Amino acid sequence: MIKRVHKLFICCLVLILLSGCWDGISIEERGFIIGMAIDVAKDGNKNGSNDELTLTSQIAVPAGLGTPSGGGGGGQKGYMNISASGISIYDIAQDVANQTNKMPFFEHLKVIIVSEEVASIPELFANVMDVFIRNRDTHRGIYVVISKGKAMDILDIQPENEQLPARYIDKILENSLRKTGEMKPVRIGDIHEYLLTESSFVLSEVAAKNNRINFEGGSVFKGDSSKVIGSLSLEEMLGYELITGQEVRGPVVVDFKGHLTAYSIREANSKIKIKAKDPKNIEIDVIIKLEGEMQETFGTVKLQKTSEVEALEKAVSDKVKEIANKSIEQAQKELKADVFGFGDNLKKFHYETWEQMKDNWDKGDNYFSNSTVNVTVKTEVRSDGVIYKSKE
Amino acid sequence: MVRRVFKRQKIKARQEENQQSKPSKLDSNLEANIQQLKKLLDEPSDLVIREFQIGENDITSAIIYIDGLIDKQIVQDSILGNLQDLISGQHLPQESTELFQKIFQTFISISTTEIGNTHDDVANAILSGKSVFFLDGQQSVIIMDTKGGESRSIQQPVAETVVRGPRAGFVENLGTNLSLLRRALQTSDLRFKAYQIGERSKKSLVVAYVDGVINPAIVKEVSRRIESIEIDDAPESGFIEQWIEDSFLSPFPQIDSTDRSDKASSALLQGKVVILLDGTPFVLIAPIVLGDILKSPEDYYERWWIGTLLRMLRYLAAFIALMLPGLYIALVSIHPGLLPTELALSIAASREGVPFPPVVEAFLMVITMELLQEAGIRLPTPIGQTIGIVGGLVIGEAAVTAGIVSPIMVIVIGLTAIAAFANPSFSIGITFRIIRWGFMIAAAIFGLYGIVLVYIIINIHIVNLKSFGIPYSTPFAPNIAGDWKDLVIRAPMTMLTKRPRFLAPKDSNSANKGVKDS
Amino acid sequence: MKSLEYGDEKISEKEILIAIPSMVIGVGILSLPRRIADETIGSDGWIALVIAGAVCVLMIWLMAKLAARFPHQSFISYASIIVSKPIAKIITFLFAVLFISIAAFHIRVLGDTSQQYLFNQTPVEVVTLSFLLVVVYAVSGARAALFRLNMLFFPFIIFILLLVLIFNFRWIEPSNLLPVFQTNVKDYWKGIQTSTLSYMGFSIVLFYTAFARQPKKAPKIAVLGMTIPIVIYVFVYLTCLMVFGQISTSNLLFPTIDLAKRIELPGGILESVESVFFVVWTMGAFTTTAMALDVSILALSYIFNRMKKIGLVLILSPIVYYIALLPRDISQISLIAGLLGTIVISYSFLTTLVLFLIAKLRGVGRNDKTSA
Repeated sequence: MIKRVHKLFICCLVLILLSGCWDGISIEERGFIIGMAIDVAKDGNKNGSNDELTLTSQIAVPAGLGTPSGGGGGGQKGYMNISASGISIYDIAQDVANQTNKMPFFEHLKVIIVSEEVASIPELFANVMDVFIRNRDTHRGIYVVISKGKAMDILDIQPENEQLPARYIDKILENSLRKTGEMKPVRIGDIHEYLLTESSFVLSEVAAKNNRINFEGGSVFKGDSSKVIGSLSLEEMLGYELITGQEVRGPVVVDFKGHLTAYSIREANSKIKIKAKDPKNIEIDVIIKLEGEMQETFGTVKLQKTSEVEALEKAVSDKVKEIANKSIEQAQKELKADVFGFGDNLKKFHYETWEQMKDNWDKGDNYFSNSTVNVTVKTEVRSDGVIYKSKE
Repeated sequence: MVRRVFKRQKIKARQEENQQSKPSKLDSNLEANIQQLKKLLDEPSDLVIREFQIGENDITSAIIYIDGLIDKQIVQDSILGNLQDLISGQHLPQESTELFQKIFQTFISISTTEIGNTHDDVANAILSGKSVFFLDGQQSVIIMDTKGGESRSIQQPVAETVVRGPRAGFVENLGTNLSLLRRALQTSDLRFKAYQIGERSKKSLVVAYVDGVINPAIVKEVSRRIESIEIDDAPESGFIEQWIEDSFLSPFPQIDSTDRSDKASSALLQGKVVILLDGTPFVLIAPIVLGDILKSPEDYYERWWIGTLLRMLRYLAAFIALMLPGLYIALVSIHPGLLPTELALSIAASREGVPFPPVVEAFLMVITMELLQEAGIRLPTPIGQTIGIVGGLVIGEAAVTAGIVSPIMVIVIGLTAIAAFANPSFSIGITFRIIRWGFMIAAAIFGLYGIVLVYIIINIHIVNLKSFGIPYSTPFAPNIAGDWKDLVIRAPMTMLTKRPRFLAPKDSNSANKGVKDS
Repeated sequence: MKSLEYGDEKISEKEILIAIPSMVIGVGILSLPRRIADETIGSDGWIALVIAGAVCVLMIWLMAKLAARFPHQSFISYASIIVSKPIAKIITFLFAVLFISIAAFHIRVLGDTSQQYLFNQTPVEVVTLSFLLVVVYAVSGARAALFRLNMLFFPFIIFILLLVLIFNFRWIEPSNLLPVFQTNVKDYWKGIQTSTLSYMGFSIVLFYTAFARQPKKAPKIAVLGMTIPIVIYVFVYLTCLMVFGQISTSNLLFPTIDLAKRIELPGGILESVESVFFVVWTMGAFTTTAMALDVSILALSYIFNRMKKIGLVLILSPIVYYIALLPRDISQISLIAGLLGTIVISYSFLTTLVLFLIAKLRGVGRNDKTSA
C-alpha cells in the first residue's frame, strides 16, 4: 500500500522537478538596492497630488566592494546611483531596474531619504511611503530620513572608510542616539503606525556637507495636515528624545561653578503623567530621570562631598530642564504639533476625555498648545572618572 | 507481508522435503565411509586423512580434517598423542564398539566432542574446522572441536574509535566474539541462541540477549525473522541485516552494526539483542531508534557534561551534514533577503564571474566530495590520504582560482563533509548523504519551503518506520519523557538508573539498588 | 510487551493532548490578531478570546464525554446507536465534507501566504500541489504515525512562537494595551464570534476518542489540550497589541508574521526572520491539514466501508486540490473562511449537543448502565 503511494509520490515530484525553479536567481545577478532617495522632479508640475518625482536607487556593486578574493575591487566604485522620474514610485523603480543588467532586489534596502521638498507637499509623503509599507520585499526596519536640499546628493557622499553611502548613513543612524542623543532613527514600521493614528512625529533631518553627512535637526511631520510643517534644532531634538524616553546616551555640557563641565548620560528614562479633568486645562507632568557620569571639566571639581555632587546634579538638571522646555515651547507655540505622543497617552489613560477632544487636540481648538507642561528632571552623577583631579 | 507469508510456506515445503530424503547413515566400513566422504567433498587437496591401527586387534581408524581450519597443536597433543599412547597400550577392549566408547569417554582430551551419525554431519563438521575420528566397524564417528588455524587476534576496533574506553574489537572468529561478550557481561542470564545460516555454506549465527532484561517479544520477533532468511551464504552481517530489517525502502538503518565489544555488551544490558555472525567482526544490534544512531559509547565513559555537549554537537553536525548545501542553495539563489546584508554582498562578490548558478555549483561540489570520499576509502591508506590532500586542497583551491566555484561554496562543502564524519556511525553517514540530495533538489525548486517540505517528508517516514515493532521516532514520539535523560543530553550516571523504557524491558531498573552480597 | 503495541492504532493520552492544539493552531493564528483587533477597542479582544475559548472548552468536554460513553466505538457506530443508522451516516458524511473543506482551506491559505513571504514567481498551484502531496503521503501512512508526527512538530511550533514573542520583548509597550473595557457588548459579541471561528477543528475529538487507549480520561485531556491554543492565542494577541498598538494591528494582513518581521537577531545572523517563521509555520499548517484530511478519510471509510484507505486518499486528494483552487482572490478566501468557520463550529456544536442530549434521554452508553 505504502509502496504504491511512494510511486505516485515520486512521479508527481518528478513532474514538479521537470518544470524547473521559478524563483531561482543567482545572488550575483541581483541588484541589491540598499538606499533610495526621493526628490521632486526638476521640471515636473508641482500642483495637485500627482507630483512628478525623481527616484534615485543606490545599487551595490559587490565586485567593487573589495572582498579578499576579489582583490580590492581595483578602482571600481562600490555602488551606482540610478535615477528616473515618474509619478508612481513603483513605476519608477521598475524604470530604474530597466537601466541595469541586474534584477532589482529590495530586501536589503536600508535607508530611504526623502527631500524636504517632497515632505512639505501635503499627502505626498504618506503616498510615497505607501509602496514601501505595502510591499512584501521591504522590511519594516528601513530608516527614513528627511534631507535638506536634494535627497539624491546624500546618496553620493563617499566617506573614506566606507564604500557604500547608504550603509554609511544606516550605521550612523543606528548609533547616533548613543553618541549625541540628537537623532532618533525612525523606521518605516513606526511611520506606518504614526500615519494610521494620524499622529505627529519627528524625522531626522540630514544634509550632505563636505562629503559627510550632517545632522540638521528634526523635521516635524504633522499628522492631520500630512506634511512636514517645521523643524526642531539639534538641542530641541535632545529635549524631544529625553521627553519621549528614548535610550539617549550623550553629553550635556553645563557651567559648574564657572567652569565648563561635561556630563554624559548613561541611562535616561521619562515618565509622563497627565491630569485631564478639563479638556481646556490639561496639566502634563514630565519626569525625566538621568543617570550618568562626569566626563570632563575645565575646573578642579572634586566630587567627594555630597554637597558637591548635589550641586553638579542640580546644574545638570537645570540645564536639561531648560533644553526640554525649549523643545516643548517650540512644539506648542511654533509648530502646534504634539510630537511627544501626549495624545496617545491621553487616549490610553483618559479614554473618555480623549474621546471628547480627539478632534481638537493638536488641530482645531488645539488644546495641546494651551496645556501646561511641567518638566521635572532628576539627575544622578555616578562617578567623576578615575582621578580626583587632573590639575591643581 | 505477502512476501513473508510466501516465504513461510516455502520454508515449510523445504523442511518436508528434507524429512523425506533421509540423510545417509554412515557405513560400518571405514573405507566405504572415507570414499563416500571424498565423493561428497570432491577430494579437496587440503583434506587430510590420517589412518592408523589401534588396539590389539589393529583396528583401522582414521582422523580426518581440513588442513588450515584446525589447530594442529590440539590435534597433535590431544588426539593423536593420546591415541598413539594407546597403540602401545595393553588393556584395551578387544571389541570395536567398546573400544569406540572407551576412546570417546576417556582418551580424547578435547573439551567439545560429540557423536556423528550421518555423512552430512561429518562433512559439515569437517568444513567448519572440526576433526572427525573414524573407527572401523562403527556407524558413528567422534566429532571433535579442533577449530583453529589462522585468525586475527583481538585488536582495536577500526570502524568506531574512541579516546577512552575498552580497546577490544570484535574479530572474524565467532567463538572469540562470544567470549568477548561473556567476559564483558558476567551474568548467568546472558543467553546465546545459535542458528545455522546459509543454504550452501553453513555459517553459525548467534543471537545474544540477557534473559530477564530483554522483552521476550523482541527475541521472538528476531528469531522469527532469522528463521525466514533464505540465502546461500552470509559472508557479512550486512546480509543478515538486509534480510531482517523492517523496511528495505528506508534510507535509515534500522539495525545498528558495530565492531566494538563494549557497545554490544551495553546494548545487551539495555534490553536489545546482539546478532553475531561467524566470519565477520561486525555484529548487529537491534532494535534501534533514531536517537541511538547519534550515540557513541564514549558519551558514557566521559563525565556527563562532556557527554551531553558531545551529543548536542553531534545533533548539530547531523543538521549541518543534512541541510547545509540545501540551505546554501536556498539562501543564495532564492532568499538572499535572509542573509545579513554584508554577507549577501560578499557572497555576491565572490560569486561574480562564476559561470554556474548556485544549484549547479553545489551539485558539482557535492559530487566531487562524494567522489573523494569514495576514492579515499577504496584506496590503500597511504594513497587514500594523498587523494584526500590532492582532492580536497588542490582541486578545491584550483576550482576557486579558476573561477568555477566560489570560495563560500568550498567552505560549505568542507563543513558538510566534516560534519558528516562527526557522526559515530558509518551507516548513518550514508543515510545523510542520500537525504542531503533530497534537500538540495527541494531547495533548488522551492528554497526554504522545499527544505521544510523535505523535512516533513523525512519526519513522516520516520514516524511510520519501525525497528522490530518499535517506532523509529521513539522516545521523541511516542513521547517517553523518562528516556529523554539519555537522548540529546546525557544525564549524570546517578540519574540513569532505568533502562530505556521504549524497549519495555522486563527488569526496568538498571542499577543495583544496594543489595548486599550475603 | 508494551513496546510492540505502539504499532497498533491506539493513541496515548499525551498524543491526544498534543493533537488538539496541533489541529486547532493552523494558519488562522497568522491573521487572528488583526481580525480581533478590528472588532474591539484597546486590548479588550482577549476577553472575547477567552470567552470563546471557554465555550469551546465546554464543547470539547461534551464531545469527549459523548465519545467516552461508548468506549472504543467509532463515531458512526455510537451515532447509529443514538440516532438510527441512516441519520448517523448523513451526520458523518457532512463531517467528512467539512473537514475536507478545512483541509482545502488550509492548503490554499498556505499557498497564498507563501506568495506573500517567500516567492515571487512560483505559481501558487505548484506550492499547494507539493504541499498536498506531502499531506497525502502522511495520511496514507498509519494513523498512529500521524499522531506521532504531531508530537514531533508541536515543540517546533511552540518554540518558534516563543522565540517570536521573546525577541519582541524589547519592542513591547504595555501601555499600548490601554484603554481597557471600552468595547460595547455588541462588539464583544462580534469578537467572540470571530474568536470562536479561530478555534475550529477541535471536533476531531468526536472521531479520535475511539482510538484512545483510555477513553475515560479523554474528556479531561481534551479540555487540557484545548486550553493550550487559548493561552497561545491570548499571548500572541496581547503581544501584537503591545508591539504594534491596536490600530496598526488591525491594519496588518498577518500581524503574527509581522511580529517575526520586527525581530532583529543578535549579531544579525539573519536579516529577516519572518521567512523562517513562516517556513516553520508550514509545519503547523501541515499538521492541521493532515489531520483534517485524515478525519474526513476516517469518516468516509465508515460510510464506504468496502473502500480501502488508499483508495479514499487517492479519490479525495484531487477533490481537495480542486476545492483549494476554487476561490479566486483574497476577498473570496476570507469570505469563505468566515462562512466555513461558522458552518463548522455551529454544525459540530449542534450535532454534539443533539447527540449528547438524545444519548442522555434514551439512556444509551456506559454512564447510564452503571447508574441504572
